[in-house]
Amino acid sequence: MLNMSFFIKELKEIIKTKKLVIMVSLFIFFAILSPLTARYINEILASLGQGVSITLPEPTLIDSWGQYFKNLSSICLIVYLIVMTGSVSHEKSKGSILLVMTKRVSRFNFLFSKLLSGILLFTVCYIISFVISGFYTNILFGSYTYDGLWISLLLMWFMGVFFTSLANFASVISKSPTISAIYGFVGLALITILNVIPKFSKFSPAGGAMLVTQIMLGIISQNDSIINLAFATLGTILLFAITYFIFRKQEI
Amino acid sequence: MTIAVSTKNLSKDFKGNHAVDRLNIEVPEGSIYGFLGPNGAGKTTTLKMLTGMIEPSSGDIEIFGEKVIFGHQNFHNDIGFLPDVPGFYDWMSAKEYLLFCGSLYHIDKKESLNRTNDLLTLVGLTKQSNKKIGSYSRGMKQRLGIAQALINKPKIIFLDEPVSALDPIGRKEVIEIIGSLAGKVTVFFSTHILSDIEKICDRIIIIKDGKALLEDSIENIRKMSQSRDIEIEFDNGGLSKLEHLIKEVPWVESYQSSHNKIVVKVLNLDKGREELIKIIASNQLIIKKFLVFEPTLEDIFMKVVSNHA
Repeated sequence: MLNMSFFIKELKEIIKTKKLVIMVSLFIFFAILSPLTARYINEILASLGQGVSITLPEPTLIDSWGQYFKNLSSICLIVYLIVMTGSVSHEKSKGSILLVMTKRVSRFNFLFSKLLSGILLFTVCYIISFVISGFYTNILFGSYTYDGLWISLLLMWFMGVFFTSLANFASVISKSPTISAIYGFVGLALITILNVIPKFSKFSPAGGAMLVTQIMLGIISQNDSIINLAFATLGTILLFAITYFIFRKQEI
Repeated sequence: MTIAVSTKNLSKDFKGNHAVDRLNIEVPEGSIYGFLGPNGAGKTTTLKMLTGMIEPSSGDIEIFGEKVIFGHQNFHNDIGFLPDVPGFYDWMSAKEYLLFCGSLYHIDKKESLNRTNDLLTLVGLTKQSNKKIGSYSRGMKQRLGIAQALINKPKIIFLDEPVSALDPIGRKEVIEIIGSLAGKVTVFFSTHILSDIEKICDRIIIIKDGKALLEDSIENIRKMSQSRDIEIEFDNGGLSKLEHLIKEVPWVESYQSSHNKIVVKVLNLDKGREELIKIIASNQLIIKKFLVFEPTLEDIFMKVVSNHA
């Protein structure tokens, strides 16, 4: 049974250490910026390239969401990953883990609480940001939805969940937050490189971002998205199981 | 007599190095047990094995008869632990932290609050209980560390170098708190500061390079290595006469004199003390000081450790 006290402590920590404020602010910033840059990209380019005429097609709401998903899968997720990679390693380097683990907290409880609180943080940031992005897209483009938006949102959420598991893994195998952030970043870089291979992204637990682009271009079926969701779920569970297996054997 | 902690041939190797080497310990229930050794002797490694945080390479551990298995928590209700550098959540206050610790043991909220208040009083943190731990001094953190180790009313608490990093005032305060636990809970207390052990411990074990060198009650250890030196200081004169009188007596092993002082090493302290007083009295020697050297734990420690160097 999950000891809720430790999970509640994790949630309080996210609030008290300003992680929530920082992450929500970042997600909101890009949620507003994305539709704005999409809507006014022609004007921005025109003002930059004086004397040079650049003609781009009239932006649509697809461009707005495209911009949103691009920012989300790059800057927002990188910052989130770095923040989350410190979750276990920070407790190790500080020594707080020893006081908790010598009480009635199992290793599974400790790790699962970290994963769950991370997923919750990401979900809150994500929901706030896509609601805001949808609101501005609606104002600027007259509509906010397109065919495949909901499955795209789901794909990105699953990708974020997988990144939480990846951050947990990086955190467990490291002794300090700096090392875990480096490991997390290397993991992200590797996955991003592998995602460039078209056939890989469909089966990659972190391939959601690539699939979202393909959905917008209309070159992917719903079935392919479901396959990716299944792989993201499987990848998250498998990575958590590996992380737990390592953590269970780890001397503290 | 109930045994609180027992280890049999407890060993831990780190890449071929014996951090702890076939250590056998028996800690009686209710005692304040000093775990003494120089830096790097294997004290922290032993404590982490005892609390299930490190896996022994070989050997067995039992806490109140229950086998300690690495990573398991079956015995966690019975123990409290304070590591050498306790890490807290700085954003919490001491009160919040103790309530949080209580909740980890599923202690009823009301009971947890009562225990928190009692422990804050015990460690003298009542006034600062609502301040963030991040603003606490080392001494305050150490006192909070003792409080959190006691929140579950454990049968035994393990304290790893609880006073090493503290200033003299902080040390005194923490030692007094540990001393006040005598008879209430078994205390297993590691340190390399001898004076701390001397003040509060009933029994000690001295380890070096992971091996036990000596284990006994403080009383027996003192008896075992009783000093046989008697120092006599004269006001003026008398020294040469005493030297002459003890030159060939069978109960004197040797002596050393300087200025108006003589240190006599006798074969038996009681006999030597008696004979010397007799000589002084019968020869009407005027003395300023008659001192029987009391061995300190430091003497014993140095002797034991250097014998095994």
